[in-house]
Amino acid sequence: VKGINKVSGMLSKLRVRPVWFGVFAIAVIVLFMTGTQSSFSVYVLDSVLLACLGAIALNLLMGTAGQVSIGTSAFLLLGAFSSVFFIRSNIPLPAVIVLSVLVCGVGGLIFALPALRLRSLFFALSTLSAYFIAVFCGNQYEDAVPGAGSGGFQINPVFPSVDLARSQQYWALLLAVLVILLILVVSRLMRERSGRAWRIIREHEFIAPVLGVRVSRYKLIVFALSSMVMGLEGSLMAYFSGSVTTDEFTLQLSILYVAMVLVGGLDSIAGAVIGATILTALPIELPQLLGHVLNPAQAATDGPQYAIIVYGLLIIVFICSSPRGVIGWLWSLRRSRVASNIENWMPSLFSRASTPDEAPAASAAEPSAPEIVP
Amino acid sequence: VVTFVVSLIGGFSLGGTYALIALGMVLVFRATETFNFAHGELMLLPAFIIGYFQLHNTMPFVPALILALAVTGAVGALFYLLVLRRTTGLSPFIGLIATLGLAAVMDGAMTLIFGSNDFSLTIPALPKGVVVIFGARISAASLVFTVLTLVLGGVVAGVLRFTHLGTQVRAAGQNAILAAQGGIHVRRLYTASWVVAAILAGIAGVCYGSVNIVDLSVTQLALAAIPAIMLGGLDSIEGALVGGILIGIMQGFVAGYLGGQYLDVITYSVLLLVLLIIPQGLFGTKQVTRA
Repeated sequence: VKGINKVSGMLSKLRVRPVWFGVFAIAVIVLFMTGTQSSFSVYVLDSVLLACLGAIALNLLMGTAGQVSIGTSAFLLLGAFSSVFFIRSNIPLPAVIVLSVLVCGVGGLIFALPALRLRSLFFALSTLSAYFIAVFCGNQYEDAVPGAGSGGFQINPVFPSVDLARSQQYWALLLAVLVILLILVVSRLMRERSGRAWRIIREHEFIAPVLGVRVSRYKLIVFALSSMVMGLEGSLMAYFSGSVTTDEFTLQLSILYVAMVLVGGLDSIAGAVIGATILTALPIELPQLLGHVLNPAQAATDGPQYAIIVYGLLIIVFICSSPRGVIGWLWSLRRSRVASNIENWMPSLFSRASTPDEAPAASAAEPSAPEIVP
Repeated sequence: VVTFVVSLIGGFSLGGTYALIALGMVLVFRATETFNFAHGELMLLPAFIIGYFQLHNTMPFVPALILALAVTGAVGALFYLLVLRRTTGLSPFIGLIATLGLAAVMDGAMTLIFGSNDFSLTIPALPKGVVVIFGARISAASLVFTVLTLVLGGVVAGVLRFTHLGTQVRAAGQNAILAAQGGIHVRRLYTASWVVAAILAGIAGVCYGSVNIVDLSVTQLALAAIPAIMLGGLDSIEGALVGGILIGIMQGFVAGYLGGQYLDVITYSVLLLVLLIIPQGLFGTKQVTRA
């Protein structure tokens, strides 16, 4: 712990925002892995980077602004299907992605206009209905448009002239650039006026207007923004996997994103990235690890089930022991002033903001760590 | 007329299942303020256990049923004792997300143990064949189950409403500290609520499974009960029954007149409308919408 304190002290003297270290780390990891690792590892890396987009978006919505949504799949689906629509209209590649993102932004706004009147659990349940409505629309489109075989809509690869291994590497670089851009934009949004507005809405929605925060405007902004990023991910997923069906976009997938945000750590970009990494790599890597214990054939068939069990257990363990996720757990290792600030406001995230008389009970249930200033 | 009768009776039999599911979910929500997303898995577990024993002919129906419901109740109790007790006093969302974790664990474990097979349950002493009502042919078994689920739901609601025990459960749910001061074993009641809810879910699952095929899609049924719960009111026991039956009948008519592909979208659009127009539901209190 002393060593960590020393290192973090040295880093903070450099006067560089922490986000740049994260960006640097991602760039180094991606360059290293694309340069040296097998194409399977690069495929895992690509999946992780894709999931990072959605996890960061959901973290902004759920962690920073406090609007828990189980409708991530709905916007992934919307993004993927609008890409299919635009590809079929013979629109060139970059424009397809931009248009799909815009469609998702508009879709998010249309859904959010009524739904953001609802709060907490009721909002979460309304996103559930958004999910089923989106799946219905996707199914209708699949039925109405010829060309969706049993494998769904086929999409031509983005990098047609290179082999599979090489295109995986290109994908990793492309996705890394997008993730880094997203991290820089979102960290800026979270740091500034908008971030403060979202946090006050999360903590005390009824006090926010007194402080001059336009609650509905900021809620609409955060919902539209996160929908757009999820749409971007959906559109890229369509290109990456090469086929689109509604069957890919399950409710489990939405819940997986909630788990990513939660396991990683709420209201933290690094947390979203860590959560996305753990929960995306787990179902891919676990069957391989199990292959050493069980016989390979059985490991291959049962592996996904074990992965589901592990991820369920992870959710339960983190909920019970460390509701602030991996990041909160890391912060508690590094007891600096910054850490104590985080510890002070994170517990209040899950206390009931609307009933002030119960706030002491919540903070007693989860005592913040003692502030130790070295 | 035939379509109408089929829709109505099919709707009632679905509605009975929904009512049982909704009752269990409302019960645990009132007790521990936890919205249970693992209810579908609790339905599936006993149906799988019975189906497994029947497939291998190792145990007759009645002991298998008792064993299955006991296991399901134990899962509910363990989940409360091991997980939800630690999240008391935190936001309801913590409990909700924990139930998502439970759902994932149970999904994975059940697929590992029982394989991804379908089971069909056969229950002895059940009338076979069909009954003809106004020219509509309806299986006698599903009629029996409709009556059974509705009566069971009514009995549980009545116990919660009119008996001393029911008053204690409701008191413990409203204010745990005052209830404890009044000499009520709050924790014991919470555990019991989870056990009862799990067993209700199990009975709903077995009833549904004996008329239909048991596979992983049964868990979708518990999600479809969410509109029923919100329609009746999240904290209302009677509302759960009424909402369950209403949503069941609505689904019966949608399936009968429009076709199965519209079921989900219409059911969840109703959920959205209910949330927007009457968030407290038909019988719920306004208080719950602020939670």
